Order: sequence, then C-alpha cells, then structure tokens
Amino acid sequence: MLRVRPPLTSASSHPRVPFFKQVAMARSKEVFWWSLFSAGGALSALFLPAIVAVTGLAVPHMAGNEHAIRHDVHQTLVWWPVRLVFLGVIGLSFFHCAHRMRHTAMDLGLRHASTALGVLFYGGAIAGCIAAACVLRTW
Amino acid sequence: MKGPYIRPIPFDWFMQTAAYRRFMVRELTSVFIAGYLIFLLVFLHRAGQDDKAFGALLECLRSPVSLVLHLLVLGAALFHSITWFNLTPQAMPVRIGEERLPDALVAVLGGYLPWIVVSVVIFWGVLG
Repeated sequence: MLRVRPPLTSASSHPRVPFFKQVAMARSKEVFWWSLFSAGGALSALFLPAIVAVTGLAVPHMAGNEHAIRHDVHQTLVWWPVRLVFLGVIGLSFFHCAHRMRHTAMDLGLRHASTALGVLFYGGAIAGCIAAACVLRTW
Repeated sequence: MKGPYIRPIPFDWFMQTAAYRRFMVRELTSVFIAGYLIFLLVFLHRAGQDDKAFGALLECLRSPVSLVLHLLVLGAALFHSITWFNLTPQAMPVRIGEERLPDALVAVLGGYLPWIVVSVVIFWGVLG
C-alpha cells in the first residue's frame, strides 16, 4: 500500500527488444517520475503549510491595503534566489500531485489507461512548471 | 487474450479498512494541493500587476468561501506534511554502520525540525 519504492511496471511485449531490457526501460522511466514525485513531496511538505497560512489567512485578514501588500510581495520576490525557491517548490509540487493523482486513478480501476493518465497528469505538471516560470520570470 | 490476468478489484476497495481510508485521504490531499498551486500562481501574477487587479483578488480572498477553501487546503497540506515525514524513514532508512537509527529520530531530524525552521523563516519574513 505504501508507495515507497518505484514499482516494477509490466513492460509491453515487443518482439525485437529482449524482455529484461523492456523491464529495465519501463523501470527507469518510473524511477524518473518517482524521483520528481519524491522531491516535490518533500518540498511541499516543508513549504506549503506556511505559504497557505500566509496567502490565505494572514494576507487577507491581517495585513494592510493592497498597495502595502503588493509592496511586501515585491520586496520578497525581487531577490532572485527567492524566486528560484518558489519555482522549485511550485514546479516539483505539481509533479508530486500529478504522480499521486495518476496512481490513485490507476488504483481506482484505470490501470489499463496508465499511459494516457501519464500524458494527462505529467503533461499538466509540465504546463504548470512553464506557467510558474513565466509568472516568476517577468518580475 | 493477451497480457497477464488482472484480478478484478471492487471500486470501493479503499472503504474496507481504516488504513485504506487513511491511504485514500492522503492521496486526495494532492488534489487540494494542486488546486492551491494554481491559485498561488494567480496570486503571484496579480501581485505583479497593478493595485486594482490585486485589490480585486484581495476582495475574493476576504470572502467566507475563500476562508473555508483555504482552511481545507491547510488541513490537506498539514496531513500531507505529517504523513510524509513519518513515512520517509521507512522508505529511506538511515544507517550508521550496522545500526539503523530509530525512525522517530530520523523523522524529527530530517522532517519536523527543518519544517519548523522553514515555517518560522516564512512567517518571520512576512510578519517581521
């Protein structure tokens, strides 16, 4: 039940590629997505509760008017390493969520559609990364 | 018929035991987190525009619906953090020589302590 290790996915049977190589290829692909899932899981666990509390609870209910808050956001993000951290947290968290949603959908009976789910969710995560890069680049 | 036989599993398998239900709740936190990440991009984008655009977003943020949604997301994020830090030592045990460090110690040093530091830095940066 605990998804702690990349699963050994069943390779499609292609006659020209030996079976052990198919398994190795399928496995290395899984390891790639799993490493992004793992990194995103760690970063979202460390950063997101505090960021949610700030943007959703502290900013609208405690701080001053919109001009003062925008000024504070600018003060924070004008330093490029902060923007880089934001890009890493947001981008990798997207991959974390995509991996979990894909595997949950597979666990709920869509195992035969794993490739389509991968395109959908990992594609969405890539789009999210591009959007994050665009937002944080033009600061 | 090609391929291995796959045993049919009932759709509501995760309702069978408490552990399965917790597993499913943990997986579903990713839906809330993904939704919040999209909101966060909108927030940063609007903050980069003018006062009028950001003021409109702040009005939305002050609505009760927004408050409820943010509390739900905060709950999901906290559940993810706690389950993640508790699982990490099981997934990646830390050994010193032959001895395996206790999971609780690894969870605190590698998870909860950095979590507190990061959270304090963020709150200090915002409120300080």
